Amino acid sequence: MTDQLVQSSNPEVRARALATVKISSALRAERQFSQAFPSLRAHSFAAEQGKDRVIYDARQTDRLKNVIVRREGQEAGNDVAVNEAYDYSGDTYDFYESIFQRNSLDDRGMTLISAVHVAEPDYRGGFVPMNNAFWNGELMAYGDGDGIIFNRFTQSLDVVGHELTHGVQSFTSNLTYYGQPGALNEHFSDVFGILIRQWKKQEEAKTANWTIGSEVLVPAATRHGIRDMLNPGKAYVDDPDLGTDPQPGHMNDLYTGPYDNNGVHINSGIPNRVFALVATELGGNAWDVAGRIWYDTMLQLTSSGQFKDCAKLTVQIAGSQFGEAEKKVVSNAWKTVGLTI
Amino acid sequence: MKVQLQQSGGFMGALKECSLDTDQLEADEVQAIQESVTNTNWTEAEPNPSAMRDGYQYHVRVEDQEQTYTAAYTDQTLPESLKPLVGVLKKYLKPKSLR
Repeated sequence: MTDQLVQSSNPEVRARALATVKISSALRAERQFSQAFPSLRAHSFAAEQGKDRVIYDARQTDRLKNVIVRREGQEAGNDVAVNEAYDYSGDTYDFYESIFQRNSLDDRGMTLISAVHVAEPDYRGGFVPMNNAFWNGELMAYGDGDGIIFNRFTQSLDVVGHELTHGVQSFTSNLTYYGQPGALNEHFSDVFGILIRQWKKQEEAKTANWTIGSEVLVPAATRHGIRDMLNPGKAYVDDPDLGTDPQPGHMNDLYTGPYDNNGVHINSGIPNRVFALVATELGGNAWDVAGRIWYDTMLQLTSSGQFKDCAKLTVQIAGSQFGEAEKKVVSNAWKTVGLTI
Repeated sequence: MKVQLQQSGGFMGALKECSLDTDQLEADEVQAIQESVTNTNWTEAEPNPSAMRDGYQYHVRVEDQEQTYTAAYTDQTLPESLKPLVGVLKKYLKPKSLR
């Protein structure tokens, strides 16, 4: 598939495919080197030492690595955003370690770096608080929000888990951030973001909240979150500042336009719904069965994986690791959104 | 001068847009936009497949009496010269339906 994308007439798709080939080659070479010379592997990470966190304060600028304000083991201070970034990245580490025996993003104890109070330039040469959070390939960056529509992004454990899962994916499937592979990239970040929150709160699937980013939005009657995994398209409706949630919940409504990298945050509603349906149908803790199936799928998918590839793998893993009943639940959920395996 | 900004992506993933005539704007905003337009090399940015996730994409369109400029950028490819223009127009973004 990557070979086909490299030949694409769309320059953006072609460039992304070429980058994927380069990254895959680099990762293969890095793996081979580490296997051959494990003692020589650079110790830029806190390898094999467990959890290691560093928090930077951008101090309302766009300089992400501005000032280090907290390191692993240091006491909490008075800055709520610093404490949230520290605590929630720690919760994310603990979740991956205890449920999947994964040692940080790279499974080798990579330091979790966060930058808080990130701002963006205004037109007067100053800065305004950023209404966003992102993963830049090395660290998580969190804005404080404008206080009108958005609160600070560190406030939500599932947002922090979402961003860190982008990091996990960069060391695993590394799904290309465009079209269906990109929507799966967003999907896995939502899945593990919400699972981390449910695990932390010990919420069972049937009674859990399936909304991403509730705390990030300033409350209003027209909004209850950024995405609703169980009911895509319903997180906000006719909101004067946000409009209406564009996420589809069925393949018939798949977005194919140019915006949002061909709909990576839009079409993730389809597999998100599948996961929420599977978890609620199976009952119990979503991270025990559904979470395990999706974690192994995330590790096995290739960078060009499409929805149908994800569907096939989840059905196959459900059957081989758990049994016919679980396989049927997963298969039926994909059928509900218009994908028959 | 007519200016348009479409912003998509971000953690939110929603599309927002504004289309304005600079006659509607404050003097310092118009000046910032005019400087951006003058200082920008309006060639399409090279595709930049970066590791960034949840960044924004921008589609910018400027029409003056002589010509029309259009270009698409991401947070990582947006030129410094265009940041003032984007900074002004972000204040006026409104949600837009994708369909």
